[in-house]
Amino acid sequence: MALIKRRVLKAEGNLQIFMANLRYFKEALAKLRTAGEAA
Amino acid sequence: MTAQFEPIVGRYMHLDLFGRKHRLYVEEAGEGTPLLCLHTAGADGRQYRALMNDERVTRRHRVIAFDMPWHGKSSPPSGWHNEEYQLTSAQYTTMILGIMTALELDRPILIGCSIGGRIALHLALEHPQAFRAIIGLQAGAHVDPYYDLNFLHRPDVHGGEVSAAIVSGLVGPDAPDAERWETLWHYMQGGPGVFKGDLYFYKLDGDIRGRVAQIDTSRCPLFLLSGEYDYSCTPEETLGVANSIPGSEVTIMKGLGHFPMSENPQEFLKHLLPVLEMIGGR
Repeated sequence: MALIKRRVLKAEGNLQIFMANLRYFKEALAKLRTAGEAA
Repeated sequence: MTAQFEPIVGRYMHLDLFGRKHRLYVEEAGEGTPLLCLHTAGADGRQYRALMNDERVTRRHRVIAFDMPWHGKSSPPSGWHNEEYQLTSAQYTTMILGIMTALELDRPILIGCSIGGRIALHLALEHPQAFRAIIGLQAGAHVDPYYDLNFLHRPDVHGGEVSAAIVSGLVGPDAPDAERWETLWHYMQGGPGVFKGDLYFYKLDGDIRGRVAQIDTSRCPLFLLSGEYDYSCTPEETLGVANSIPGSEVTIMKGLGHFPMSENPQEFLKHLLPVLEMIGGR
């Protein structure tokens, strides 16, 4: 959402699935970040 | 097993607001100068529980936090099911002044975060005589909508989950896990359409860009504290507001985000306590 606010990222099309699962998208990305830091 | 009780006391208050009967939940702790706390959009007064439990604050201040109508333990008024909730500047102002009168608060210090910070600017401009000082947390003059607010209230998206997901990135990276997730839990518990209704004020009705420079800090001291990691009300926006108001004092709080009092209260208190000291000394 920060990227969207800063106009770095644009989300287009039908966003229903993305928004309905936003928490889980973000948590999955956070897990990847943690895994990357550990590697 | 020994139970430990916090010093916070909660009560329900019946009050007529906007010509309708309301039942409002109010918590308080401490004695001394009243410190009236305004929660963020879509949340409730629990955000201030750390302040109410901190003896450094409560030994000199009567800390009061109420849940706005439709929020927390304050139910919406009768007939709510036939209307759409939308917070306006006029309603918000009337509510705060009405509650101050009902609680017989004599020139309290006002502290408000996000929408609470925005209405703090309105009150500093329109009712400076009513307050000893005003502290705006994450207090910007305006925020343009940057996502479709309709996703916050529609049947095929869980309103609580999406509200928490949208604000989760606003929590600072150093926030302890327990506090981070409690802050988000408050959002997950919000009533249907309430966060969206609050954002009507935040993103549309409450725009104060054209008038914020008229705030007279000689009538009411104004302190602006914003978290470094807030991309909703950014440090740049806070600094812009501060630069347009002569006499205002501004602090950018390192490592903190949009919910300083609930996401990382111990770090936040390092910034708030000196401000309260300054206000007490005036």
